Amino acid sequence: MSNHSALNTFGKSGNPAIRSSAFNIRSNDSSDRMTLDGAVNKTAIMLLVLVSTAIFSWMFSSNPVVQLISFISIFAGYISMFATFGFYIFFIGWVVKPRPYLAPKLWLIVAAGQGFLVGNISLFAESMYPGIVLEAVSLTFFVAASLLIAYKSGLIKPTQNFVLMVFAATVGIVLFYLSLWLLSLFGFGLPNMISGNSNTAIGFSLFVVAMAAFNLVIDFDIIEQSADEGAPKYMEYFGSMALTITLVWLYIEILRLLMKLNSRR
Amino acid sequence: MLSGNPFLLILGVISILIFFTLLRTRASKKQMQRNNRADYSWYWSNNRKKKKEENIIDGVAEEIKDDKD
Repeated sequence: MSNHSALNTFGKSGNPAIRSSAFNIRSNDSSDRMTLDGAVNKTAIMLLVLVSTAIFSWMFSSNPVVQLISFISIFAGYISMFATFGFYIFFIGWVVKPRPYLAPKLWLIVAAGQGFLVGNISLFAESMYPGIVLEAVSLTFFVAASLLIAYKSGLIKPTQNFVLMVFAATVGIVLFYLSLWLLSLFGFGLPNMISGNSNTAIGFSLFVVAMAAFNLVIDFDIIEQSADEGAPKYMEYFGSMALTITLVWLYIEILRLLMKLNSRR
Repeated sequence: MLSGNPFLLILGVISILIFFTLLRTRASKKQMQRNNRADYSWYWSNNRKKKKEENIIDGVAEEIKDDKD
């Protein structure tokens, strides 16, 4: 019996493990799982969208239509962020619970919103201190790359206590900024301790930069652990969203720190 | 339009390259195989539980009698 006639008689294979349908099921399963490469690719796409919208808002900043789009995008971006990551208040708990499965629907809205925010803030900073934006971008990626080396090599180990401390400090900073923003709506100016160029103001900025940098370490750990444990696909979007938002936060804080240092000259 | 220190610009480009190259590589065993790792699985396990609960159909079970007299 030739090979072909044997195949025709018995079929391609009776063994369910070798049949093509068995392979299809397996590949479908793995395509639903998160991978490290997938998260990195999505972070790159998010950063590309962010940079594109930042350049757009920078170039057409005087156009009222662009200003309106910018305002709506930033607002929509923040709503999407809170919907995905939740909102926590001390002694109350989660006011909005984290919903990571929303990330695949909202990641591009967040990227565009963050891009418009970065574009507007960068234009303002560059008009005051020429050259400051490139310095801030370079320093942001220098800090991120240094922390990534420290994390991947095992020099920094994010334990449960580390995560809790950074989470508490971050919630504190977010609530502090929100209360300052609410006070500014009622005509109260920013306290000189925060906005000035005194040693206390620079020390506060350094503290916030350090907290943003520690948040990066947690983002690396979330991405690494989710990929390692075969988390659902939406965790790729969630991880890349967390990493991009933290990078933007770090950039804005470094920009503020550089502005304070430049105003001393 | 944009101006800045060329040294910082080169530092930034190198940092971006290192950042994206390292992001794709797996962390060391020292990092991955430790007992005091923070647990983030609640981010996706809570959602899984929800989906499982959705699959449960509420109702009253009835005994099926095959023999018809």
